Amino acid sequence: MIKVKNIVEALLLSSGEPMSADKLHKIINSKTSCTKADVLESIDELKDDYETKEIEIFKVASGFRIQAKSSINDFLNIIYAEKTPRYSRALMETLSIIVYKQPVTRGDIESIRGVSVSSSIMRTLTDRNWIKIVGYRDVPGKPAMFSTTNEFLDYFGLEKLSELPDLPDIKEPQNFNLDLEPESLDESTTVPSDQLN
Amino acid sequence: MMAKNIEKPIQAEMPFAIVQGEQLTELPKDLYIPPVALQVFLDAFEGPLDLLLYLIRKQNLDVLDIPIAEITKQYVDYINLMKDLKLSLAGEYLLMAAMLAEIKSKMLLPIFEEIEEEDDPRAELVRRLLEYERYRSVSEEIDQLNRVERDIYLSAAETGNYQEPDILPDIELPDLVIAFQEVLKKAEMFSTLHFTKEPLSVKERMSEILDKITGNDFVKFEDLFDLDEERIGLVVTFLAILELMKELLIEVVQAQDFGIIHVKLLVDKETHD
Repeated sequence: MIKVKNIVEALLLSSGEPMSADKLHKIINSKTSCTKADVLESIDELKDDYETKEIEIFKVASGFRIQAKSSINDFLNIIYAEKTPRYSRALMETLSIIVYKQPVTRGDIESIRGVSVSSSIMRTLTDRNWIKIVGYRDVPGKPAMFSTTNEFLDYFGLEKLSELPDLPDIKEPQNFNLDLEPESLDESTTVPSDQLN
Repeated sequence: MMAKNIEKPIQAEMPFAIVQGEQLTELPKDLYIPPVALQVFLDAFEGPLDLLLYLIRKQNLDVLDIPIAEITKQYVDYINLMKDLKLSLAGEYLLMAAMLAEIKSKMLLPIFEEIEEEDDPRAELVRRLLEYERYRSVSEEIDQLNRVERDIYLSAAETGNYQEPDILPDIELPDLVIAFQEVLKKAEMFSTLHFTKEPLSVKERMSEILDKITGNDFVKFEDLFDLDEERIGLVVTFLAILELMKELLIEVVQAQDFGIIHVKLLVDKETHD
């Protein structure tokens, strides 16, 4: 009889993707009787086991995964240096807009960035399963609306969207008559003539 | 205070120190970036808003009080440089140049008391710049987050001599039809002439089939047919099988490609009766 703990460990090591406690339980219970509590207990035991090792069990959006502790990144960087994909600023900006404004259409992204959305960026984001179409906005043309996925959170080692950095507030919004603040309209800004060329 | 800087465009060949020393108490990194110096960055800009923000922030200008004339001039300089370098110039850049010119011309109009309700012509541009800047700065933060393949390294144990389980082939309708044809062929060998009419009902045949496949056992597809029946009877049986499949009362499986097709009960018979 194989110990549940060892099954959990082997599954996490070889599955190639994070696994939730539910999924682990379902898989193990289909062959040998085990409860979800057993699975969670095994995970805790494994965490204890790994205290003295350079690997750890880490929880991300899609579930648990076993990863190297960052303490040995210096070594791993050597292996991975050339395999590390690089993402352009344009891609990161596009991704950020989707993250904070989801669900968004390409039009929403374009109006913020001021340039047309690159199809190759959208394809990269979709191919990596970081974004997905969640519906179509009910306006002419029925544009697709995009949201981020759990895989996106997994990739950045996060469990929830709320763990992402906060979107900064608009800088210096005071002393200027932005139409965001209709109540300040009466003290309308006049432009001193010496500012004009 | 910025306005003084703007009165005359600062020439690239002028010594920076003097200009800066006169205007500002603390020394800014640079006030005016000669277009040639920007050459290397040109393709690094992510669009007109990015370029504008760069020009504004680099010169420590107040986004909320942009010296439109000066910025427009610089902006157009870079646009022209891009053209000279035969860089493909996206339409958005030209659109922004036109927008800047429009804002500039609006600001040149005298301001009458009656229309003072009107917004600063720069408001929309400022709103877009600030909005874009929020996402641009947060995208830099996200870029710094730990991420798989760069800062996080996942386990990837090999699974040794793991073997894919055999996956039973799906049965398509054509497979069933072919199997049925075999049944018909067989039936022809037994065919005799019958003249008696018997009423055939698919519904009735469905229950008969369900009766045949009781329990958990698989029944051969062919065995469901009574070869003594006429062709029409066989057709009714076939229709009954298709109907039962549609209602998810029976399951039809094939152990291997071109193998014998078996039929099995999917639900307890009682629930049907």
